[in-house]
Amino acid sequence: MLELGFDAITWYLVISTAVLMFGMVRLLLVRDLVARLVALDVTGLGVLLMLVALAARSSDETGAQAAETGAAGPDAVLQALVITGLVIAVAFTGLGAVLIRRIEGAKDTEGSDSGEESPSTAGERDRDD
Amino acid sequence: MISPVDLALGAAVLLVAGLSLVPRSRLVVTMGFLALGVLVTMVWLRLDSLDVALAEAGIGTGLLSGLMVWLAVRSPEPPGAGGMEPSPRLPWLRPAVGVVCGAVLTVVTAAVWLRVEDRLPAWGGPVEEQLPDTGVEHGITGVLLAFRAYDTLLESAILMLTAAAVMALSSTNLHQAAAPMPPVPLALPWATRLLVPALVLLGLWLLFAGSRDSGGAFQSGAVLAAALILMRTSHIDLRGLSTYLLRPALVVGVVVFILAGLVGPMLGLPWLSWDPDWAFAAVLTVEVLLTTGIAAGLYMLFLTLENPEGVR
Repeated sequence: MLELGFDAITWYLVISTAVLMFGMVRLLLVRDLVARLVALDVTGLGVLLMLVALAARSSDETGAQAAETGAAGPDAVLQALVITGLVIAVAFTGLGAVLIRRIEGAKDTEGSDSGEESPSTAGERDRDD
Repeated sequence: MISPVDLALGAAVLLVAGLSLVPRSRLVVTMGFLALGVLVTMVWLRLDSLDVALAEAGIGTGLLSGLMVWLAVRSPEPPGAGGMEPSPRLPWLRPAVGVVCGAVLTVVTAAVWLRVEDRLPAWGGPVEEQLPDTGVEHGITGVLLAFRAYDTLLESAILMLTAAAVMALSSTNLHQAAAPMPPVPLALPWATRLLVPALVLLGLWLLFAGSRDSGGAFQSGAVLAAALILMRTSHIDLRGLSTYLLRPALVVGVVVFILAGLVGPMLGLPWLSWDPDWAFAAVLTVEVLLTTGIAAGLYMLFLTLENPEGVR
């Protein structure tokens, strides 16, 4: 068992590892497409959490080492990487969401003959049982 | 060493991550992800990463959850479809294997974090030394637009290409722009009319503050896209904007970024490098147009989610 002598950064590193691993396992096992997309995002969030925790080490060091490396505050390079990662996450989630809508829409119209409704009724569409 | 706030926050992150992974209802999973975004934002504030927290709050939690909730509410799949694919004979086998594998991987990797020797990356010093040459004072904006300009260019290009891909998936000429939105309570249009000027101001402030303080193109673009989404949800007519301005706005950031990158080789500098004399002007121009492109791309993702061709 872990001793309680570790600092906050190690704690967040361990948390991020758990989030990353369980997101990944769930991503591999789940069947529903939306749950898969969410699991992929949770996995990505675990990685980003890890990167920010690593970046925070720079500001956490004592004065001597900070003066030696010249770094003040969290590591800018890693933080910029995390912002990049967030934008990429939105990009793939948006594309995945539209793809899911297409796939399930196709599935929906296959079984019924109501495929020729006008787009304006899309909001009121009921699921065919 | 470690404060109770950190301990509680970490445990909450784990708990809510479980909430966004385990339940079988799409709506619950989506709401769990929304809450996870809020918690992670707080973790990043605890870790002194204000820029990342702003980006997470704007892009990760705000826009991403907006897309997800829309998807979960409108999806035709019944609740309860989130189960695992059971194996025919031993239904407990796959969940059990998954839990065991996840636990083993987590313990092994966490042990690595606990035992590894802690060393800082060697790039800290050079970044600090060369930051004044980039024309901006804020480290993260400097890294994004000067040191890693190539990455940022490709990243904006990814957002542009994603928007192009979702536009291609919806096959008709952005017909969603004319499609009516579901009815909303009367309070929302009022609130939107009050909020949008404040949101635009906040977006611009984040953009221009990015050169000295926390903020930047991505956070600002997310706030502006959120203003557009709010306006669309509350039945404010954006048809002209969506039909004529959205596509030019989408490409202008990347195109100008590439053109600004080409100025370097003409003056005998490497590609995508700014001379300290005009670095500030170049970085600011690129950042303003990039913000336009990011806002347009994010809004496009929301717009095309509504009724891609095939969903009728």
